[in-house]
This record gives sequence, structure tokens and C-alpha cells, in this order.
Amino acid sequence: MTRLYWRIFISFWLVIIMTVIVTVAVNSIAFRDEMANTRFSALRDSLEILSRQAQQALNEEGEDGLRDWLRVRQEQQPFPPLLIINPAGEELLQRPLPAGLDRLRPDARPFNRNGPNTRRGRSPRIRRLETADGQSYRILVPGFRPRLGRWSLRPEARALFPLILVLLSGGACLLLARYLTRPIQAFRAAGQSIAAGDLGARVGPSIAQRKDEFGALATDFDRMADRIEELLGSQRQLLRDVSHELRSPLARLQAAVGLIRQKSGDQADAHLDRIEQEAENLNELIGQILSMARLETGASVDRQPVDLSRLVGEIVEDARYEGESHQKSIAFTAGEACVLQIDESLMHKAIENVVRNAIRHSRECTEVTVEPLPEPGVRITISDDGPGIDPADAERIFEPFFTRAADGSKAHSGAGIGLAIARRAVELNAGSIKARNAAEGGFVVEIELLKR
Amino acid sequence: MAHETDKHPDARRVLLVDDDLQLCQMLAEYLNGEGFEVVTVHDGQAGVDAANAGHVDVVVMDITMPVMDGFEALRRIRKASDVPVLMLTARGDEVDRIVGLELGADDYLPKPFSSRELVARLRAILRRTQVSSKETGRIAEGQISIEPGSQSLFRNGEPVPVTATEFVIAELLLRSAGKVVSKEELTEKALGRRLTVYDRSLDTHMANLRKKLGTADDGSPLIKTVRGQGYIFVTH
Repeated sequence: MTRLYWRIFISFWLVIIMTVIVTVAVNSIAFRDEMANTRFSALRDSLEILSRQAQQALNEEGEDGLRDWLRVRQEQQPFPPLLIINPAGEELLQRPLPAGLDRLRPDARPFNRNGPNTRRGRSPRIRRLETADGQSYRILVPGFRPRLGRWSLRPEARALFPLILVLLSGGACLLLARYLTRPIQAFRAAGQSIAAGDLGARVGPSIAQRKDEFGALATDFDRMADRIEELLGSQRQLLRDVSHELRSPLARLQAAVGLIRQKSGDQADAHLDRIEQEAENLNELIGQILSMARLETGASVDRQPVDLSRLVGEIVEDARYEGESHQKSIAFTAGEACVLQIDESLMHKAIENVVRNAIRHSRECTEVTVEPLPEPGVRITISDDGPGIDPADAERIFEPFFTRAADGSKAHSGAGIGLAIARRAVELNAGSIKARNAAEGGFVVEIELLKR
Repeated sequence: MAHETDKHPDARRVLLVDDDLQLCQMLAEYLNGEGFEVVTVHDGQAGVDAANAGHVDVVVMDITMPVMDGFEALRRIRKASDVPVLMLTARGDEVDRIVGLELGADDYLPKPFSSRELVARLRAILRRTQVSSKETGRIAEGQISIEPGSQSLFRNGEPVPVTATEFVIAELLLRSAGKVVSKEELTEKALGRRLTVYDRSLDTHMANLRKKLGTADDGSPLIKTVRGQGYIFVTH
């Protein structure tokens, strides 16, 4: 995001600066002389004629004649303005002299320091008039005073212009970049919130009310989010209803079994146990399918610092209790505390499913280890001494209801979705889960979680 | 309408509140066979009325019900009485469980459940209310005192309404005041079952109890959590 922001900002800014530089360069290289020539040659030509007339007036009638000529001339033809300075340094019509003229040497060219007169031929603005006795008058066209004052002509001031240009265009580009990227940021925030499970997040009216394409996009985005929220809402309601509707008959079934048990004495106990066990399996399967469905449709992940050694230890403890009733043991080794940011209940479900699956398929013992990885992270290895899997199925065993041991026998019932849930839960915690056969026989599942 | 089963002179009375008529009928028959006297009603409002009418030793209540759901019914029952309540929750729905306990339920049982499990839970709840009634006298520690005989708890001599489970927890902590009581022990004795990883029931009961007991004069909690070990009733 910020990258786009800076990209827009820098590129627009550079383009503006380059444009200005190129314009100035082309102007000064290609057109400067020509423009100056036309402008000043006209001035020079007219000054040539005027100074000849003035010289004539001076020759014929002296300074007074020159003054009369000047007055008449300026009254009839105010442009170009003319000044005539006598040898005493005063203007003939007592008009103020341009600043700095008192410092003028007779042949100096104080005006238009950078004008073309510094370069070629005679000055277009100043001519000398001579009397017979050697007195010298000067006739001149005063330079145009720059609007910003003489200060703006100084070199350090001229260096300021590019700086001001850069700052102004930079400010404009910043505003432009912000204008373009602000809506994108809003889209991104809304998208992230929705992905994180907050289905109520919207881009909001501040962008949707804009009249441009961003406004239209925001309206469409929000409409899409409404639709997703609605769909997921009804799906969740459906899940709750399904859960309730499937479990109510199971509850009645179990109540009925209880009654039979009560009335029939202990003759049918084994069969009733079987019914209760199957009802329990069915109930567990319903629970698993529902939690799988919940995981697939936007489960919210709540990451907290969790010590995996402790978590796995607790799961193993519970599983050991369960395994002992089937004469199966679990060995557990863990390094020191491995604290990661994970969703504890999701990871608990994932690891528990893998551990219980291992116990179910093991002959005698299951091994569970928690160890740190070389890069910051944790690997949890769960291996059993069971028949293992067909190596071709290493990926497929994480698919729902895929149950087949390497010897082709159908695995225990009710196991078909536990590993699928485990994979989804691990993925939601940004981890990876892999299955393989151990070299010395048996089945190994590795869960790797990286510290982020 | 309330439906009553056969009466035994000493039988404990169970109020069963569930909108599943067939389930209620079978459970009532089963509980009857186990020596309970059962009253069944089928919506929350009727449950509240029956519970508050008295003569009920324990309430078993479903959450999803017409007219008034189990949570609202529980809230209304708790306004008037401390009768033990066992909530029937959907399996795996932790939110339902916690909300129920926070509202003052004594325990919960995920549905579907075996009838044997229900009876075991009911007996555990009733045992808590029975056992201590044999005792007389008062146990006091600071501002708090309890009378096991009448199941009542007092703060500065004023009675504080607590549920049966909260009372047992308070009693266990008060009897070993100044010593840490483990979560395992509290769960086993107050809830009648083994502590498992995701069982947060005890924590919820404990939070309710703390709220009711208030704090010591200096503002410090009367019951402190000892991380990884359990809880301790602080002595001064």
C-alpha cells in the first residue's frame, strides 16, 4: 500500500520536475537568442533614429532645444519612454532616475545586466550625445523593473525558484497520491477484517459516497460483503439446526436404551453397550462434520501465546488415560517451553485428532515428541507402530472420510474426518502437516508451526 | 402443563424442563425408576413458574425451547431462588456452556447424554446440598462466614445468595483458608468430576463467587488465583 502511495507520489513529482526542466532548457537553448534579437533589434533601430534626432536638436539649440524636443516627443509618443541625462547627471525633465544610475560611468550599462546588450553590438538602450565642446549627454530607454524587485535578480534568489517549484509540486503530488491511495487503504482494511472473520466490516459511506469509480467500487464491495454475511449467517443457522435435529433423535435413542437397561436387568448389557457406543460414535461424527463445516466456512482464529510443550503434554495425558484401557501406551518427550502465537482450541483439536488416530492404529505404543526447529518454530511428531499407509495415499489421508490402512483393511469407524479437521486447523494456524511411513515401520505425522 | 410421576415419601424432586415431549417422558420414567420424583414442563415460562413454586430439589433444563429459552428461564429462576440447576447444552458449544454457568447454573450436561450420566450428575449435585446439611455451626474467616447446616453464606453478618455449587466452593476454600486448594480438588469435590483440559466450569463458578463476595476493605480480592496451582482464600 505505502509502496503504491510512494510510487504515485514519486512518479508524478518527477514528471512535473522533469517537464519544467526540459521546458526551461529548450527555451533557453532554442529560442532565447532569437526572441532577444527580435525584441532588441526593434528597440535598437528606434533608439538609433531617436538619438540622431536628439543629436540634431542638441546641435542646433543646445540643452534647452534638446529638452523641448524631448518634451514634445514624449507628449506625442510616450513609447518608448526616453530619459536624457545631462553632463551634471540630471534628467532633463527632472524625472527620477532609475536606481543605481548615479553610479554610472558614461559608458556603463547599468540596466538589464543580463540583457543581450552584454553580448552583442551596441547597447540597444543607451546612446551618447556629444556637444561640440565635448560635453556628453546620454539618451536612454529605462529598463523594465522586475515585478518582484531587484532582489529577485540576485543569484541566490534565482536558486530559490527551483526549490519553490520542487516544494510546491511535491505538496501537490503528496495530496494526489493520498487522494488515490486512501480509498485503497479502506478497501484493504475492510477486506482484511472480513478475512479475519469480522463479517460486518464494510468500506463505509465515506468512500461509497464518492462520485468516482472508487465510490462505485466501494458500493459493489459492500454489496458483496452483505451477500457473504447473509450466506454465512444462514449457513451457520443451518448448521445449528442440523446439529439440533440430528441430535434430538440420538438423545431419545439414548434415553430409550437407559430405560431398556433399567427394565431388562443385565442380560442384554453387552448389546446395549454396543448401541450406546454406536450412538456415541454417531454423535461424535455429527460433531466432527459440524466442526469441519465451521472450519471451512470462516472460523475465527484467536491467536494467543501458547506453550506447545504444555498443550501437547495435556493432550497426551488425556489420551494415555484412554489408551490404557486398550493396553496401549504413549511415550512423550518435549524440549523446554515452546511458546508460539496460535489459536489454542484449534491446535488442541488438531493435535488431539492426530494423537487419537495414532493410538487407534498403533499395536502397542505411540510416540509423541515436541522439538524446536532450526528456524524459529516447533515440530510436533506423532508416530505409531501400526500398519502405516500406502505411500501413494500420503496426501489423501487428510481428505474427509479417507480411511485405509496399508494392508487394505478398513480402519476403525468414526476416524474418517479427524485428520481432515487436523489439517484445516493446522492450516488456519499457518502451519503445515505431513504424513509418511517411518523407515522402521509405522505411521508418522509431522506438524510444523513457525514463529511469526 | 406440569406432569407429575408417582410419589415416594423421601424422593428427591426433579423438575425437568425440555420441549422434547418424548424425551421428557422417557427420562421421567427412567429417573422414576432410580427413585426420583419428576415433574416435567415443556417451555421456559412453565419451568420458571414450577421452579419458583418451590418443592423442587433440582432443575434439569434444556436451552433451546419455545416461549422462553433456557437462559432467560434460568435468569428468572435465579432472581427468586438458589435451587440447583443442571443445564442441557449442545455438544461442543462452549459459548452456551459458559453463558449458562455465568447465569448461575450449577453444572451442564452436553446433549445427547446417557441416562446413567444424568443420574450421576443429579446425585452429585444433590450430594453437595445434602452432605453439608448434617453439620451445624459456623465457619468464619474475616468478613465472610458460612453455615454448612443451612447452606448460607454471610458477609459482615448479611446473607449473600449463592448457588449450591458456589457454596461448596466457598466452603472448601474457607475450610483451608490461607492454603492453596488445587483446581483438581475443587472440580472433583464441587462439580463431582475429573478436571479436563477444556473444562472452564470451575473458573466461571469462581468468577461468580468472587463477584458476590466482593473485596477486602483494602480493595484486594478475598480469593486469589495461584497460577498453575489453584485458588487460595486470603487470611489477614
